[in-house]
Amino acid sequence: MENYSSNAVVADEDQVPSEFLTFTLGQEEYAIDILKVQEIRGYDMVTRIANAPEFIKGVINLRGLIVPIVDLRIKFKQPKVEYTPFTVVIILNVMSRVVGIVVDSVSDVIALTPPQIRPAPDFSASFDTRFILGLASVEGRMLIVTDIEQLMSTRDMELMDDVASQG
Amino acid sequence: MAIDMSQFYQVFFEESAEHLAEMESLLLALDVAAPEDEDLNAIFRAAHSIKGSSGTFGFTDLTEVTHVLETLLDRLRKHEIPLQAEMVDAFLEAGDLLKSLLAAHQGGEPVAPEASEAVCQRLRQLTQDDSGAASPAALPTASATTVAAASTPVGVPAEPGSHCWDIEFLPTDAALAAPETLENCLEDLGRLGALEILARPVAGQPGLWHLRLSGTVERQALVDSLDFIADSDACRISDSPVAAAAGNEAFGLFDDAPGTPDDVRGYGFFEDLPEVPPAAAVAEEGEGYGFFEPLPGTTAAGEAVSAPSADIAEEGDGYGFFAPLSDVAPAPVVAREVGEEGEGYGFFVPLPLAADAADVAEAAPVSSPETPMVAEEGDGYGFFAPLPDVVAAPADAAPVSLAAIPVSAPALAPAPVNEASPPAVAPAAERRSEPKAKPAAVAAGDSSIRVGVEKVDQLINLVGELVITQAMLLATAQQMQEAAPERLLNGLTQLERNSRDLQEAVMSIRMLPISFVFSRFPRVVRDLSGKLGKQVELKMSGETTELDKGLIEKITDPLTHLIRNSLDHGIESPEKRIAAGKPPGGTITLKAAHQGGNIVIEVGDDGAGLNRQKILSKARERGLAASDQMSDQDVWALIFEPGFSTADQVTDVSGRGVGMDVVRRNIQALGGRIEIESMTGIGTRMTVRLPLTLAILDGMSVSVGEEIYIIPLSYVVESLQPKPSDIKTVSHQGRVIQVRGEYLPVVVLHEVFDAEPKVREFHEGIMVVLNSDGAKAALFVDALVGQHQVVIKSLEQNYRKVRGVSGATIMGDGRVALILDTSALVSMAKGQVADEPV
Repeated sequence: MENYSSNAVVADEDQVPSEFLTFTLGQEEYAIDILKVQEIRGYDMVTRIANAPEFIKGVINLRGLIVPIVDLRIKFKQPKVEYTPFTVVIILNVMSRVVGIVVDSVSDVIALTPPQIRPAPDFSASFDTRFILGLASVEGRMLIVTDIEQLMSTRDMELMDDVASQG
Repeated sequence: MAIDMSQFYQVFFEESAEHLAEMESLLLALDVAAPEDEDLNAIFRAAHSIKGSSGTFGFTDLTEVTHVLETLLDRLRKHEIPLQAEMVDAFLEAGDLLKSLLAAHQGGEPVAPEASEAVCQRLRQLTQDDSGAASPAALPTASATTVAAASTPVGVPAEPGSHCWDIEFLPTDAALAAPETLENCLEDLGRLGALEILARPVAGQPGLWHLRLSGTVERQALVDSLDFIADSDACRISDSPVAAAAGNEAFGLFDDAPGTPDDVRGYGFFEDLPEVPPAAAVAEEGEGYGFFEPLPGTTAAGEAVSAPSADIAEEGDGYGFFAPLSDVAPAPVVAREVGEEGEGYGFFVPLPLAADAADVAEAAPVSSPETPMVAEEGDGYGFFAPLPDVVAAPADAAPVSLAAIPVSAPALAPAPVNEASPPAVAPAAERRSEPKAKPAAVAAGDSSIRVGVEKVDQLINLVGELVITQAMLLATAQQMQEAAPERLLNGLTQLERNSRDLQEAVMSIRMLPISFVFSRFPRVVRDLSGKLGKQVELKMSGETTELDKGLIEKITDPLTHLIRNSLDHGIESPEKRIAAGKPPGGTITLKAAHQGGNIVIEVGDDGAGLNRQKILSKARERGLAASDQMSDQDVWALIFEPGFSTADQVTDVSGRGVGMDVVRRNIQALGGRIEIESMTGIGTRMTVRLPLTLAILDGMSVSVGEEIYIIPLSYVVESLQPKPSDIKTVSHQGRVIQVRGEYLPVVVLHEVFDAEPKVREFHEGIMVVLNSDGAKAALFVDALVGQHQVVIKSLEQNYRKVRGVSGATIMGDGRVALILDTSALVSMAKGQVADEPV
């Protein structure tokens, strides 16, 4: 991100903010591209899938679509996983698939310009830094800006078929 | 004007395919000895439409073939030459050729020009044969092409004979863009009679064409020809003064043609359509009685006077709506008047284009007896739609008008009409049902729309959701019991009914009548029986039975195969049949019907039946397990074995032994099954049972712990509650259960799926015996829940394949239930028994 050049001429696109949805997993706050989010809904009864990993809670009926639900809290080994009426599922539209993720809570939608997203230092987040686009600091909160599409299509998510065959 | 035609190609392909299909079905239904005029016309129109549009789109190869085809058809429909059986063959061949040409344009294999030439040659040959026998007394189209039977034509009868048509038209943009279309059309017209071009605009420029054509041509033919280069409202065909004849026709209307003293009194509709040369009045009739839409043409000289809007308005008398619209026409005056009525009061909508103001003013006011055309009405109510027309001499033009007289002038008899109608030029009323061809086309166009299947599927999904939501609401309201106001409950009940209806209606969108499949079989049978030298009649019933579009596409091949089989192996040759005391002609019956949640298709023949001995010996030859003790059913089932054939010799029809196994596999893939019944000497009947749609499955729901699973019902043999003693272990690992003397491997569903069951003891749960491809296994579940028809949903769309699960469905309460993959489970059972001891 060469927008740090103190040059007076700042590329226009640097100033165009993108919107991100933020959610919390335990103590950490994450931001994902809002364009990947289809909707947010409460956690319903899911139908368990045979022999699926623990973090895949099962499938739900989303207006006629069968949508798998991944509990990111289990996936990222959060100590406290409970399902309350306030448990939230974010329905994502990634890789032309519809997938739901369970998170602790959804905070808000914020706009971030590219300069606000700083490269992440090598730190131990709950997941691989490959999926971290950067860190953003907004009103004293640190947001982990995540490439949710990459994350959901990884092999460990076991959502795709090639995973199954190797698994 | 460069128009990108390619965007319309798809429409053209689809339309042409439809026309071809229509043509073929008509040809097959045609009685060679006494063809219906209407059918011949319909075939001609189909060919003509293809020709016209292929010309427009520049597919000249198609145009050439259809042109030759059309020439022959044209002579046929004019009764110039009699229809012969070989012509029908030639037409069918030409139809096939056109299909392959179309396919070639859609990226299929190119068609050899020789093939095309051969067909054209054959058609030309047939066209020229008997050309001497052409009967000049060709039936006037007026009676041939119209629904004359229903009419009460009064007045001048249609006269055959020579016409001299004045044709004016403005070519469409598309026609301008493709000059060869215009040329084609002119050539066409040239064939119809002596063509004279009176005016033509600069090539490629829009402008008014003026042609004169004389010959024994019907207006319809001209309209057909012009249809492709000019919109119907942009062309005008009028009978030139030379012509004296005109057809007169009315549907329950009385036409009073001036000059024809016809004293008709009555109730109903009176319509006066005098036509003063050189103008022609064309009344076009929509929908039956109420609409009169005359299109009087005008003289080339332009001294025309047209419908006086003024006087119509005057005589309205409180009834009716008058909406005169004036407009200015290009050169010759056109009077267009539309008399439209509803509910007993008339709507008069004259549209005099460029009406000469003076003439209009002169026009006789209400009920002027001198008015040459008077519409008289009988009972006081009535509809008046006289046609304004045109008189050659401007001086006499005054009375030209239309007068609709309401009750106030009932005495006005038709007689004065005739007296009043001035010139001895014998104006002829002319009502032609010119739009004959067009309504047919319009009807076809209007009765269906093309919609993407995904849109329909989306609709089905949404409605499914609606039904579930509604069920949930209703359940909630019912739980409230007393607290729920009665009106709410009533409303919800109403909603339930409505949403069910909606769901049914939406589901029916995907359903098509099976005639889509059946319609091709007459051709198959015809061709094949000819090839095999057998006489076979195909009887079909239940063509209206509806099934899912997806099934329609997939059932065609198996059914074709079954029919070919019946023809080749079932029906004997005429000699053999006579020897067996049967009529020489065999019959193949094709039936479709709904039976419960299934559709049942039967292919039966009255042939020799299956030969048990032959099948058994063939089976032994091929090393299949076969014994004389096998039941008939089991023996018949042998013919489904791959590579099995009882044909003594391999022909190009069948006998290679690839077939019945494929048929069975295809039908099973559709979730259906096939059964054979056969009696030696009496015949064979194959019964195919299919689910109504691909998306719906008959399932048995079972529970394990909290979850519900669906087992496709077709794989379930029985279910039972085992006694502890029925279960045995093999090598301490695999378990088997004894069911009716058989030991079946046990698949414990909660173990396979690693679920938490409510029941662990076998004797407390249920064993469901499954049969998948001949292998049996017992599936242990907690309990049986019920039997449902479930909608199959893909699990892989958003997730991945799960072993033992073939899909998912949404239950009535909105929850997802997994559909079990029985064959995977059964093979798991086998694996369990074989592998686990290791």
